[in-house]
Amino acid sequence: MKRILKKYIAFQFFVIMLIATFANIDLRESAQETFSKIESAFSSNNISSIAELVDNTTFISLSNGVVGYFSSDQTINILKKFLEENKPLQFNLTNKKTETRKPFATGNFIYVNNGIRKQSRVFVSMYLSGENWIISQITIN
Amino acid sequence: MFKNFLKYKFLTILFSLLIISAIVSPILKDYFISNWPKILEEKIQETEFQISNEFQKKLDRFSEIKNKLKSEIELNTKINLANDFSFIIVDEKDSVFDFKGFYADKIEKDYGPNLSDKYFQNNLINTFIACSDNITIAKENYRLIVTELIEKKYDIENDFFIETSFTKYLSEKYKIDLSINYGRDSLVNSDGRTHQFRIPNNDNEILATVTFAKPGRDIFISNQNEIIKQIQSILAIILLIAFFYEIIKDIKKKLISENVFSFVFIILIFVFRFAIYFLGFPSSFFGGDFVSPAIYSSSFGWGIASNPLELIISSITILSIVVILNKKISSFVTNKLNAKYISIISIIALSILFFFFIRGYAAVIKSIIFDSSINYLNNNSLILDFVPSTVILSSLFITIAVFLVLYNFIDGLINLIQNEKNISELKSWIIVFIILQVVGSLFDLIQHEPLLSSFLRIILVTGLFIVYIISKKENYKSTIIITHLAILAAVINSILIANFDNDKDEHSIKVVAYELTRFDEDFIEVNLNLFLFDEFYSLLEQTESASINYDQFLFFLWSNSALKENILNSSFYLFDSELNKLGDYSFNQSEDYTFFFKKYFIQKDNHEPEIFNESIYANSNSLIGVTSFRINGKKYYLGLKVNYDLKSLIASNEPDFLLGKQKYLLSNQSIENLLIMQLKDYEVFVLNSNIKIDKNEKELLFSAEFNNHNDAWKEIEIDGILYKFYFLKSNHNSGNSIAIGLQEKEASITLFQFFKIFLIFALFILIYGIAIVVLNFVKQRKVIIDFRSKLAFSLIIISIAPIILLAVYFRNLTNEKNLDAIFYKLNKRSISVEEYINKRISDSEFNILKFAKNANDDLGIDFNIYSQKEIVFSTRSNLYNSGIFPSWISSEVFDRLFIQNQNDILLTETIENQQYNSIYYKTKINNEIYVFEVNDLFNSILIPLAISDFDIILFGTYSLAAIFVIILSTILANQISLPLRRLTNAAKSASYGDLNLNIEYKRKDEIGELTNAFNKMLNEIKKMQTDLSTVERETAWKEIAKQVAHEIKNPLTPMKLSMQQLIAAYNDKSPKFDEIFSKVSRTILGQVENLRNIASEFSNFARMPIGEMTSVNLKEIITEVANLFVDERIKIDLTFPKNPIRVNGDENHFKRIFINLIRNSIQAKADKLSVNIEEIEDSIKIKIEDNGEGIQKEFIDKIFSKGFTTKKEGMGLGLNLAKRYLNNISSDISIESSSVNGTIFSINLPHQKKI
Repeated sequence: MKRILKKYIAFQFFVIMLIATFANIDLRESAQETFSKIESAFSSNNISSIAELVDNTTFISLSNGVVGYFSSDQTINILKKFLEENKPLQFNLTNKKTETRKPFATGNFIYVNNGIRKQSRVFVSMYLSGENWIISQITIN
Repeated sequence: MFKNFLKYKFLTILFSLLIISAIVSPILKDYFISNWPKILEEKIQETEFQISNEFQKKLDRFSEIKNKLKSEIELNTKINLANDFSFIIVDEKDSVFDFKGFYADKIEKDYGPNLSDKYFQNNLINTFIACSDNITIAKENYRLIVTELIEKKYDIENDFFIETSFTKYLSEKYKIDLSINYGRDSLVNSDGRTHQFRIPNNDNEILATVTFAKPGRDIFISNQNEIIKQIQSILAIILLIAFFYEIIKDIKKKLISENVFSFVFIILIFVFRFAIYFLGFPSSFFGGDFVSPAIYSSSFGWGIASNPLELIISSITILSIVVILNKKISSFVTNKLNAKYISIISIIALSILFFFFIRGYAAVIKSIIFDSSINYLNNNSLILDFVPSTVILSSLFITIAVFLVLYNFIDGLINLIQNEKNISELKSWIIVFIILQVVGSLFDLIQHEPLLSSFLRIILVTGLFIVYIISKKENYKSTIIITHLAILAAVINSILIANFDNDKDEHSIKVVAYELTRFDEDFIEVNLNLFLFDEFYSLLEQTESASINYDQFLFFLWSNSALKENILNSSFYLFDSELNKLGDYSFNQSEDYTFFFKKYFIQKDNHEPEIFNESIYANSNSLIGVTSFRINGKKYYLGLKVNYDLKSLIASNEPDFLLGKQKYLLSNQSIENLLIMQLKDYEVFVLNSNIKIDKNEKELLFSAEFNNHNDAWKEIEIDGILYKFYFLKSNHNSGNSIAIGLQEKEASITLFQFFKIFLIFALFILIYGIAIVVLNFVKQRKVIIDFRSKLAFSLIIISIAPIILLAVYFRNLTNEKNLDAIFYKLNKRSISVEEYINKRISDSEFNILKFAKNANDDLGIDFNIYSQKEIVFSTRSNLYNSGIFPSWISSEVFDRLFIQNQNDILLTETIENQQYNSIYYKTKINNEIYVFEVNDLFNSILIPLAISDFDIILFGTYSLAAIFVIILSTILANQISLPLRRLTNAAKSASYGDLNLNIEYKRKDEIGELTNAFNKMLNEIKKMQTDLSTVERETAWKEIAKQVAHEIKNPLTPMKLSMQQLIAAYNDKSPKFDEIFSKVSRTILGQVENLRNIASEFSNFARMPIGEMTSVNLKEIITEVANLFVDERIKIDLTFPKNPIRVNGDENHFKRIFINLIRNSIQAKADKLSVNIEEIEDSIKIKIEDNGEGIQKEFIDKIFSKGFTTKKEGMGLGLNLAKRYLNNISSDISIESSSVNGTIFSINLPHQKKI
């Protein structure tokens, strides 16, 4: 009986681990997808498309001196204005780390500012809110 | 067609220009593409010329200032040293004879290529223009070297930092990517993508080399397109304005109704607002905070509130629309919804809509607080910056608009109730007030999250009612109603903003928790990686190996790294190949890692950058970065340590001007107001206080219930103080968390915050009031300030002046006492250090530097020691060694200590934009003279009441006192002036013949005597008038009788003679009888005609004189008359068409008629009267309706008869005279209806004929 019970517990543990692993893989995949979505929003100058990825406590630090925690409305409009002033040529998140509690990605942003082609480094991190990934930080310096 | 063109020529020209600009754009593009090599060449030449010119201008200005300085020194006049300028004067042996300026210590005694030639002096963090010259002082020859700071090669992003960069200035002005290599051998490599040229001196030697990126063709074309787009936007906006202007002009001509006109006008305003927004105006034409979404931004209205500028434009637009709609809302409600059943449903629906409007208003205010980064209320400065003030002001405009709508709702609801129930005004007010309060309470219940507290909602509705009642009683014009609503809006808004700001305080502790947890290992590692693998190598390229200042080199690395950018607590250590420490620079770090790095580099002599986790101190989370590099073949080791434990993130021992972006950590909060704890493994670590947590408190802290976002809120009392705690789990699955507690605000702070906002509103309302006065002055060419206002103003000035004087006095006193306290404490510290060192003089191994270090360790005091002008010791040596602080004492201190021989100096000094206080103390140790400096930049000095805290108390309480003074003064002035105003108006009425007056004033004072005398005088005049009229009437009748007799006699004589002749002819049977009969008949008929003419003449004589016929503005006359009754117990409503109503007649007659009608209403116990003017084709109809007792049916026909009156003391002339006068000018007056509910008089007048 005890052996059966042990086997049963071991099986349960295995199932839970399996589910947890799949859940983690799912989460990692969705984090990767979210990073891709962010890349595409910046590259195509369509910040409104990531409106659902920001909440009221998003940290922004930009090369134009804007820095701080902003509401979702502010975040979207700040980024829109930033891309108006800095016309995107390329936005790549080259290093993505999703196996962590707060997935982050780093990359490069190439843009035209005042007729001058420039390049900045990018850092984006996210956190899990319920079942959704929310951007916690965007740094373009 | 041509006629139309002429009519709309401006529009046509604008439209053509717009079309042309659209056609030109692609043509220009093609031109740029095909001629690009030529354009590029021209552009490069032009840029080179412009930059060379800028250099020349800069160098010429420098020469000018240098020459002026030289003559000031030689003539021994007062030296005015321009900003960023420094100089030294050296003798033949190169010893410094005199110096002045912040950067004097940095001046190299290098004399440049030739005397008086300008050149550049460089170090790792600064570049200066320099020039040397001979100078003669007191017949001795010296060398003067002057410098001006031209570049700061580091950047600290905070409010204290003063940026100086000629490179950045040129880059921004000419929109080019530019770099300048200063120095005589400054040629650098350049590739095909860049253009390089030299800046020579007079001898054609290279001073600097400028390199800029050649403009790219596509980017150049895109820039030109942007310019064309902006021109097109401006053209489109002008076109739109011109087009709308034409529409308005055309509509006005078509004489459409006022409502349709208003509707069209509002539509045009809407369209214009959105059109300018989508055309990018004005946001894309401005820069800075005014258009920064970081200051304020909301997603409302597709972006029309996306930044502070758009917000203020939108709020003004909304207010304008509501002002145009004013009264129309109320009349719509009253007229269109005034049908049985509909009106009841309407009352309910409108009441609910009323509270939806209030909720919408509260949502706007919430957005203004939560969608902005303005630290509205939590900084202690009294005056807000311009941009935050405009955001706050926008909230006032929106609130006034909403309140004006609500005011009209109340008016409409009251009218509906009155119409429906036919009840008195007072009752209808009470009913609507109760309905709104009840519906408001129900509305609170059904809302998921009410934005307005019940208390504030009750205050708001009551306030609106008070404004409504006052406005109706006083019969205010719309501008005055708006002013009253603005005052109410200012009060309610200030309370609401302060309330939401309290909520934001709670939100801000969440931000602090996020900020503290943002600096995790991953984030630090990314930044360290960035520095070691990328930034470091590019910074190394900018480093010249010769005469390297290692501390400065490390500061240069730190200040240009991502570590500074992210305010990471970091230390940099530099070692030579023998592992001797060459220098270090630490930001907010106290632990020494020298030994650790030495040990590491001995064990692992690698060349590759490496990052690893190593905490050699307990409870310290650190990441270490190491690398080695070579300059000119010499090997160096660089060690970095970045600390990210919570305690070190919170604490800061750096001066504020170096803290960089750290301010955002405490965006809305000061760390002193918070209690920050780390809850780890069932242990509580208080990170920013010495509070001890007891068992109960610990249990409460660990009992917080987390939601699925891994955070929790809980109120817990710690050490007797109630805190609201926010908990944030550091890891999903662990019990470890961070807890941030916020103390409840003190009442003085709440009061301060309320008045801080109220002050902005009050200032605006004051400006609005002044604008109205000025407009009236422009219109009427005179300023009329009534007695009441003068009295109120005088009382306010008399009462507030001492309050302000007292406030200023106490503030200055506190400031002085604080400064005394600071200097006392600094002095005490400097004495402690001196005593500490003096006690150790007898030590055989005495060394001032060694014991100074010990004094710092043992006493915990930060200080500097100078020998003559040069610093020999500093507890913050890395700040001096790196060159941020001058290593020489300031020339002012030097003069006072060594020339004027003072022993100590108290001084307020400035570094960047940060002020600090220092004490310099001269002392002799071991026969050497030293100067000790202790300042409050490095030492925290606690004072009992900081001026900022004092301001909070002072401003809040004194503002409250000032408000009471204003309210009391206004009430007092009103009470004092009321009887006088009544007397004035009564005298005016009397002057128009209204003698049926009796002013009531019960008090037996001077005004009472005056009132009684006035009443008595009126009665006397009335009696005399009656007597006089009786005598006059009798005399007139006698005179008339005489005249009549005389005039009648004249025709009677010929008639009599003719009749006698006829009788004689008849008796004599004269054959000419027929002839005589005919003649006599003619004579008699002729004389009868004469009699008739005489009778007509008399009849005309008896008719009313029609007076002087002029063009009379009825609106003005009726308003003037109504104003005579403002202090009487009747409320007069005037409803006039917008345009002036002019008739031909005598002004005084009209005034008498209206005074008589209003006086009759008052005597018929009416308390409400309305005058309505309506234009009906060629005539004007004036309807005067009161709610008096009415006229009895049997009297209605006699009411206009002469001598008929129902009053005890009436003469029965008023209405008779009115009718007679009106009839004389082809007009009429009649009674439309009369019942117990009131009477309606109707006057019909012909419209003034157009001349």
